[in-house]
Amino acid sequence: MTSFRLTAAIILLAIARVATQGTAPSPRFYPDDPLRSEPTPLPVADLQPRALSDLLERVNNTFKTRGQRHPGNGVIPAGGVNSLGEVMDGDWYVNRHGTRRMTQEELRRGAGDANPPGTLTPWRVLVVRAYGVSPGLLIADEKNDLYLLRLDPLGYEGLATGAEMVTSHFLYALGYHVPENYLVRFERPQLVAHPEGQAVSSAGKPRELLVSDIDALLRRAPSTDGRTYRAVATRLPDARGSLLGPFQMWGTRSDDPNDIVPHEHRRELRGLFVFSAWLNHSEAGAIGTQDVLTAADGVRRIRHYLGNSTRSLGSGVLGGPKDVWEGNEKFLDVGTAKRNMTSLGVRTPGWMKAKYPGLAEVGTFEGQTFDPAAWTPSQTIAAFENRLPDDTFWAARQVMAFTDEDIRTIVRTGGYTQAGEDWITAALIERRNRIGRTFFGGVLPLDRFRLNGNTLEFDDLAVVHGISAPRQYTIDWHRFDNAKDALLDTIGTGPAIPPAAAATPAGGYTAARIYAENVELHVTAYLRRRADGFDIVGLDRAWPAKVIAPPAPPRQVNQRIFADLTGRQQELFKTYIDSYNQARGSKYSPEEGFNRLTVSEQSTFYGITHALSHTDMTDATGASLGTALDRIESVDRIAGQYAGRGGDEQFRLYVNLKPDTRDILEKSQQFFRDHENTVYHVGYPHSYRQAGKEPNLQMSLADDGLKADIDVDYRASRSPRGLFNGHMTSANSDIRVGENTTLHRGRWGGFIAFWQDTFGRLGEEEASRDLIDFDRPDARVTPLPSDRPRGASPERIEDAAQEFLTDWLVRHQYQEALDVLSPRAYACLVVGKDSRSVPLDAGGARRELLSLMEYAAAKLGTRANLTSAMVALTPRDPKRVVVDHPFKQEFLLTPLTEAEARPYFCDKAATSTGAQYYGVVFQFRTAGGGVLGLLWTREQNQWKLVSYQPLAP
Amino acid sequence: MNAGRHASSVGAVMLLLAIDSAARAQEPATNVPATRAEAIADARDDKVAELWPERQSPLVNKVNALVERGFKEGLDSGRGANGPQIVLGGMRPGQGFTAGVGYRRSDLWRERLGYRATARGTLQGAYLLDFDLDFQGLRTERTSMRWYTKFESSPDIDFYGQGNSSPKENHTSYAYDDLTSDFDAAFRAARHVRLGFTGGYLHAHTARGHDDFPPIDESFAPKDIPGFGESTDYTRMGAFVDFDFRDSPTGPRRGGMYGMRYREYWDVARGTFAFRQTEYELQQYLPYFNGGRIVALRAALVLSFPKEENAVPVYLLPTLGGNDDLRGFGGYRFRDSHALYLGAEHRWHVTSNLEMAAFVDGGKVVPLKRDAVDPTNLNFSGGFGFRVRARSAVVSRTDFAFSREGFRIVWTFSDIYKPRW
Repeated sequence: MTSFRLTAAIILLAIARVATQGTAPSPRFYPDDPLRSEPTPLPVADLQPRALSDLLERVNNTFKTRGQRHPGNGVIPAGGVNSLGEVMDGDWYVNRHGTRRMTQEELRRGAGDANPPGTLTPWRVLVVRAYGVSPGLLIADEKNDLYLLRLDPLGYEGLATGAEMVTSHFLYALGYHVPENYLVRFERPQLVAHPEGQAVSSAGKPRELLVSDIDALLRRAPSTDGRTYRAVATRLPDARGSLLGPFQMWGTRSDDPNDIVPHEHRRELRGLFVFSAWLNHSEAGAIGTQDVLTAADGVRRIRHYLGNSTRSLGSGVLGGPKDVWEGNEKFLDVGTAKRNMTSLGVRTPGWMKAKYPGLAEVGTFEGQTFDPAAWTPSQTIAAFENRLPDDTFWAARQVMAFTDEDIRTIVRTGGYTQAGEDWITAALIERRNRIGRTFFGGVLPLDRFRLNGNTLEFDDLAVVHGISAPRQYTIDWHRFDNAKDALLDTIGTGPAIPPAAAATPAGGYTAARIYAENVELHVTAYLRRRADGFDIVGLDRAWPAKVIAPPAPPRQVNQRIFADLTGRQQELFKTYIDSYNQARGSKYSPEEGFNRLTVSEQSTFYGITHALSHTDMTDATGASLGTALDRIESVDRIAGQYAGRGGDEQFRLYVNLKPDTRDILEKSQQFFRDHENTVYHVGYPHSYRQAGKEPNLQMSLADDGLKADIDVDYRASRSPRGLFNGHMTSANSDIRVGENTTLHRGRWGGFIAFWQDTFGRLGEEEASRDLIDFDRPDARVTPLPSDRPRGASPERIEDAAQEFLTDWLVRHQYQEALDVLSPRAYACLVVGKDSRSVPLDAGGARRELLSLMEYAAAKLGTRANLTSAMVALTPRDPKRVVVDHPFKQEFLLTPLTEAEARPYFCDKAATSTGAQYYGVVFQFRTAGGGVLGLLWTREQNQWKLVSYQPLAP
Repeated sequence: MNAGRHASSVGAVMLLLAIDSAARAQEPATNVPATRAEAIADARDDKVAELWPERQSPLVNKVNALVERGFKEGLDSGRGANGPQIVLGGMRPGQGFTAGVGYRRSDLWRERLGYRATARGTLQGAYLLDFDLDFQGLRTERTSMRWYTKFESSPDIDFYGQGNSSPKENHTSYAYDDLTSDFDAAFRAARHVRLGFTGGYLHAHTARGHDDFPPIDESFAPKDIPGFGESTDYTRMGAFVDFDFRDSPTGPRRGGMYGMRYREYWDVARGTFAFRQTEYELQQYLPYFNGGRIVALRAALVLSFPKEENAVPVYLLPTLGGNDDLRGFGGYRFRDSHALYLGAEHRWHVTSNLEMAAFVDGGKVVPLKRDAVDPTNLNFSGGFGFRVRARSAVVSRTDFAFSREGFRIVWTFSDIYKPRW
């Protein structure tokens, strides 16, 4: 073996060993899978309520993208589910009717019927809101239970109250936490004003409650006979201070340790789309929800409720019947608007011609024009946008579990007339059936997997419900490597568990892949061997072009290392990591802790402390007051880049200050007291801004002067400039964006932009992404052309690159792939810096490259197409020309001049030829996959690969 | 691509790095979870280390307070929310883009009294100050009372002479200032049927208008511009009745309104301009396709009769032309003792907040009543437009109108087909 080969082998082994040690992937299944319930939650501390604004939510949901969406290179599976894909029982959801049929009595009872408002004595009215968006009354009965009373709009008795009763009962049966609702009828004398009651005036101001306030509210409500009013009474929790406000449909609550799955990825929230469509709850969203602090099983926790369903079924957002486009169009949809405008009123969608019964209590609710796939809430809801076929299947399965009788039982709780009850029941039945037909087609709708002796059995829900004719299924059995989450060789076919599976030791796994006519629609059931049989522990549903998005790229090898920080920076960071370790129970050293930070967190900590340390403070006489960094006692939190958060919650440090800091800031000539923070920097109202032109530090102090939120503003904050120059965006404080680094250096010299070696400068839009942009518009598999004969010379560069990559990574035709290699590329294989090493000849280089290509292909495993093997990147520079080609999803293709390409030449001494070059860049689609760049040019009328460079991901 | 990679590197290592670059920082010696429950617990522990108070944005409080200030009712009624307001439109047409400020309170004296005051103006020098007092406490299910006072100065009211054939070449203008104060009381006699009484005071002052045009008093004889150049005080009293079953007064989609108002004017000092004026209003909204399409129809008739040896002052004669009728013609294009307007619109849904409309307007002015009810010799205009809605109200209207006299773009902040009372 030549010295090169030995060296290469040693290096290969070393890399492989390091790579193995560096990766510790979790197994697919754990011994306790599948969990039926979430583990006992951690107790929560005293929490503060946090309200939302309906109007702000509507505006933000319409004009901003909130929460994470599926990246273009794959989908993010739902979270908060067990290994069977079922939502676990817990504080979000409890499996009810869909799992264990509830009795008619249970369906009728809903969340509870044991605590209706007592009628032995009049109800004491505590609060009246006769005006505003949500009029109602807060009453107390003789048991001192509190109820929120909501009435119907004038002229539409039963419309809103019936919708609330029916929808809340359905949501309860579907598994959600909902409050107890009671349908009550009362006469005016039943309500008496409490002496200390409050009213909200028509100007929104609280004042003492008058009897006339109650009358004013009732004047706006229908009464059956001029005397009797109908309302829905919602029972409030016993603990008055336990209402924490709505939960968002994206992100997590920052004060709830048990809230670990982003809401936009929770299955029960994604699936809520289907339930909302069924019940025509077009106003579903954050505002109708409520987080409630409660104690269960001795643990204080937050339970998440769905409430306020008065705008469901036929009841509309303006208080009367729905406008017919509610549920069929979003509040603002540019595409629909353009179509409607240009059609000049000729285009008439089916729902516009729907027939309604003309019953006030029903409003506009029907089932004949209902299209579950086209239904839409009025606003963009992050969780709904992220729904996948398995999420909608999960939900559709729940809906289809309701029989006609079940539906009528629940509708009856709405207290409708017979005609109204019949209509709504028929509409819900029709909508249910359409939901089954629509969403059972997105996956292979197999369910209720079980073992009958040695045979795997299941139900096809489409067949069970008469949607599909009976069909034949193919079941292929595989060994399954749980540690690597990999299906191995086939060991049998058919419903019976094959003998080879039975030979699996206890704790081992076998998988059964089941499909019918379409192999891309399959279900994989995972079985775990136990001593005396098997348990079904996992289910996976696949649909055409399902590609799971690769996990977030790993930490960077060349991130800023802790040692490069100054002593003072290290000291401060240690205070942060000590506090982290104490809370977490971990034992990270400061170095380890720093390396665990994301790049944005590192740059934030480094940038801000650098600016602070380079800001000397003096008083009016010129005497030194130390540096701004000296004011910091310790670091509480480092806020980097967080998708969906406001600009004032990102790119800042939350610190503890030395006690005299406020005095020092007041005395210093370098800081001035700015306007109080009334909207942003919540909790830190006292703003001290560094004098001089931007960039400048802003220290926002809490009321006690001992805590602060510190950030750097790179853009002017004064109106009107501040409104238009990005000051209000997160890019304002992100040192990596645009010219911010240069601006920083201009004021505080000596700053090193450690990330730029790898990532370059971030553009404004790309500030929303921490690392390389994976987003692509289409995750579908790009069809591969037929294999070209060996020696073929495609005319277009994209075809040549595709052929090379396909030969290499898909077909494993390495020799054919190597044909495109230019001799110029051999120089890339010159070994090390040892001048005694001999450059490889052409034959040697080919052999070495062959072994490398084989290794790479083996690491990737079998890939059916290029789409599953690689993903293209977005260039950082928005001006970079990108060639549009059929495989743009798989690899980036960009033209380069010779000058641009020269840094990547294998042989730096190569003479200039003025040739045109092309770069092909992609990332391997595998855990920890890196980025490879290929340089191409025309040589003798053929496209040749002249250089390759791995790039750090 | 990245620069700076040294060329003399081990190709194998580099390529393998590309495949195998899972070089994460080594995890410290913590336990790898053995169960799913442990994995979930680990994730929760990670969250514990990063807990942060969930804080409410003050912007939420501000917006909620704005909404609670009667935003909903203010939009539906057209009076705006309580507290400070930005006011757009609402002045006499043809004076330019109107903007101003206002203030409204509807909860005075424990909801018994409400008021709204506004000050508005245009860059062309027109301005308006008004005060609207609503006796809500005296309002029952059947009664309502209101007192409205306004001063408005309009430096440029177009005038082309009287008659349906008044030539465009006669274009001149006059300035018109008026102070009005009216008290209205209404009684709901039956469902949707309202009877009302109105009485008030009007002070009118006219002068020459825009310098761009020949002075009005040089272009027209005094008999053609009665009341011009004088300040006159009037009292006016009358009654009205209407059958209003529209679903919304500020942006109806269904229903109709049929009504009339009768008022008598007395020129207090001179006894020269005593007259009576009767206004008829018929509106009908015909939705189809569940309100996705609406046919809106309107007929309006204004008849003015001077008392013996009196005249109707030129500035109180009914007019046609402008933003609210005969949209293809300039403001106040046609003026005479009697005016007839007929209009039709076909509206269609674009989004939940936007409608489009195609419309046709027809109208004429005549000196004799017998000619007023005869739908011949009408002036026509037509076009298309957009209506922006907020809740049930039309808050902005943009019309593109054509007529034999050209093309106009109308942009206002209210719906078309507004009744005159």
